[in-house]
Amino acid sequence: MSISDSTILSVQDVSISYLAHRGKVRAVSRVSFDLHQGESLALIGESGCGKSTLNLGIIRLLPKTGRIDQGKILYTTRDGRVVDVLGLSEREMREFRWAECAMVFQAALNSLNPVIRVRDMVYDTAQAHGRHDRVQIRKRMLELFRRVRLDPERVFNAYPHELSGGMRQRVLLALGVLLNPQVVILDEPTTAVDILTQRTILEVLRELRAAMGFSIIFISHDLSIAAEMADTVATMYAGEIVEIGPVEELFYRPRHAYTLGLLEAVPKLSVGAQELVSIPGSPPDLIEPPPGCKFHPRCPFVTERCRREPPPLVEEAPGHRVACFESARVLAHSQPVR
Amino acid sequence: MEATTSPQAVQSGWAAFWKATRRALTGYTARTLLQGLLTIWAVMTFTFVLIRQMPSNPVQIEAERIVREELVSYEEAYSRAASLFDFDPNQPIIEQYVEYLAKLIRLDFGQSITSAGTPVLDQILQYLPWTVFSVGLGLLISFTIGIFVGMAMAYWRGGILDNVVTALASILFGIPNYIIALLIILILGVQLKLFSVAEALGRVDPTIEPGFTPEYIGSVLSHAILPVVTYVSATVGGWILTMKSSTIATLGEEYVTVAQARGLSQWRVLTAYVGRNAMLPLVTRLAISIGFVVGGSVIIEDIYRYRGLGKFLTTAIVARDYTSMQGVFLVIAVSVVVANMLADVLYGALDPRVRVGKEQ
Repeated sequence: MSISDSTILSVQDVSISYLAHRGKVRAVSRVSFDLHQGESLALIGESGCGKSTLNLGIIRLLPKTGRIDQGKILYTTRDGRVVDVLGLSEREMREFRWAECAMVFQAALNSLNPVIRVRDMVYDTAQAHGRHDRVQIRKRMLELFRRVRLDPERVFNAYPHELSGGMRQRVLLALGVLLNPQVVILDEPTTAVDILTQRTILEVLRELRAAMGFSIIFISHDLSIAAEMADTVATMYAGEIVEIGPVEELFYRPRHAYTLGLLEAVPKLSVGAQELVSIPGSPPDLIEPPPGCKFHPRCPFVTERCRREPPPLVEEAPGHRVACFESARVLAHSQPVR
Repeated sequence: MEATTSPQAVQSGWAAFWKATRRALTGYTARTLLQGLLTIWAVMTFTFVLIRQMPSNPVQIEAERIVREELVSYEEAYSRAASLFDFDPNQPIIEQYVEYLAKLIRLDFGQSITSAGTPVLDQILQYLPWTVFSVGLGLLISFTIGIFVGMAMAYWRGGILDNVVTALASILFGIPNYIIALLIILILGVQLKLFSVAEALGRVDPTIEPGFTPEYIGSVLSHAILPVVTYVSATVGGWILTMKSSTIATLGEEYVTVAQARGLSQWRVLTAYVGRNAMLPLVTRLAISIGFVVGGSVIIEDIYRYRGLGKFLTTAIVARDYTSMQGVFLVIAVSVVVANMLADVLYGALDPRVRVGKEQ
């Protein structure tokens, strides 16, 4: 098992599919990336491109119809052992979840059981991982609630419906780091809240990360949040990572037509009134994906070669890998824009 | 100074009193109680009028019986029947109603018409425990089976258990309980001779001395088996199907996935997150069903000769024993109303979102 020193999580060649009536849906195909200690990785892309599926796959909580077809997910434990998450037993997997890798789901409104008090969910979580000292757990949880700027006592004893959406999101965030995990996956953590709450959540997240040093996998439609939070950004299209690189590289020198399209679809305050360019068409059918590059039917840079063979993921600049035959033209096109 | 303040003080005292009264009347508890009382009164009044609209009256029914058995003229039979009962069929209905209501306010259900001298309440109290025991036991068994089987089916949706039980439950759910009772007697009793029909009917072997003896309790239980089995098979399908769909809905909830992501054991997720939440709507239904325990047994008790409140009611209807019928209907109405209140309270206790009046 090859894995570099600082790598916490190494996803290698993972494919995930769902069984549907019409056939097999290739939701994630041959995805690879490394997540380093303290790194923040943002996954961007349209709805249905496989971001959430990938993350559910990492903690092995796919819906019943979902299956991980191939690949390895290597995880480095605190004592330096490397384990394949896909090879863990049911019991080991249960212990892995939340204690090693926590996941804060999108729409935290429904993430908490409406008939159980927050404190009981906290105790439940701790007890599932063998921590039975209630006084200690309570103390730690109250401290974390204070850090995410919640009124600790009130929130601890509240039912979920007594809290606002932003508060619930922060409850989940604090609960997510209760067991001091090495990896925190955030699935659209700011989608359902207003812009001010969004700010608070991002600040709180940054503070927690600085204090605790966990790595983050961050799913977002919102490119500005990705730009702000991430060290590394990966663009996903039709279940594949089509471009991955350091955040400034990817946002200022995009080399994949799809990343460029996403960037051009965002309004820019600095440039003033300017026509927004959206990407024509919609994501492809994942049961029978188009041949060659899956993006070719929507791509303005398409050539004959793109229709025939799928482009491989190639490192074109340090740490910047892209799967596009026409990356030079895309790069040249993107420069005058900025 | 004093002269002007004291009337004001009195006035504000009264105002405060009225304010408190109004608040009490608009309060949730008071409103519910008042509503319940109103419902009971309305049901009582309706049945009072309706049962007197049935053809014949107790005296005529008794007179017809005498004519059939003793070959006397109808006039003679009628006068004999009239002298037997403390009931005047020619009294205006309004008068009867006012008299009845006046007694009822003192919780006096009156005397039975056909068995003169026996208070209706005594009879009801004598029959009621048998019905509560048999129907209640049936309900409890049925509910328990429904919860567990329904949940298992939702968990292994699309499996053999799911498919077989869904079909079976739908069929059972569609057959009325009296058909099931007749089928049990005809097929299991008469055709297959799994039990002796003559011995199984009734509610207890009359030759056994009542008491806390193993023989007596055994006899009570063995006679309750048939009605209980009937109640269970007639209602279990509904519970299973409801629990199944409720569990499926709950399994799709985000908080179940999150509970799993938090590393909770399968068992903990199953009980505290799926089971508990899926059961919420069923608990309300259970409470309401408890209300129908009393009324839901009429035909079954008749078929099995099980002398409970239902059998008592049919006997009373045949004899047009107005006061006895009225008494039973009143018990049914009260139990339904109380069960509904219980359902409200219970739901509030189980689901904090619908708790009312606590914040004030």
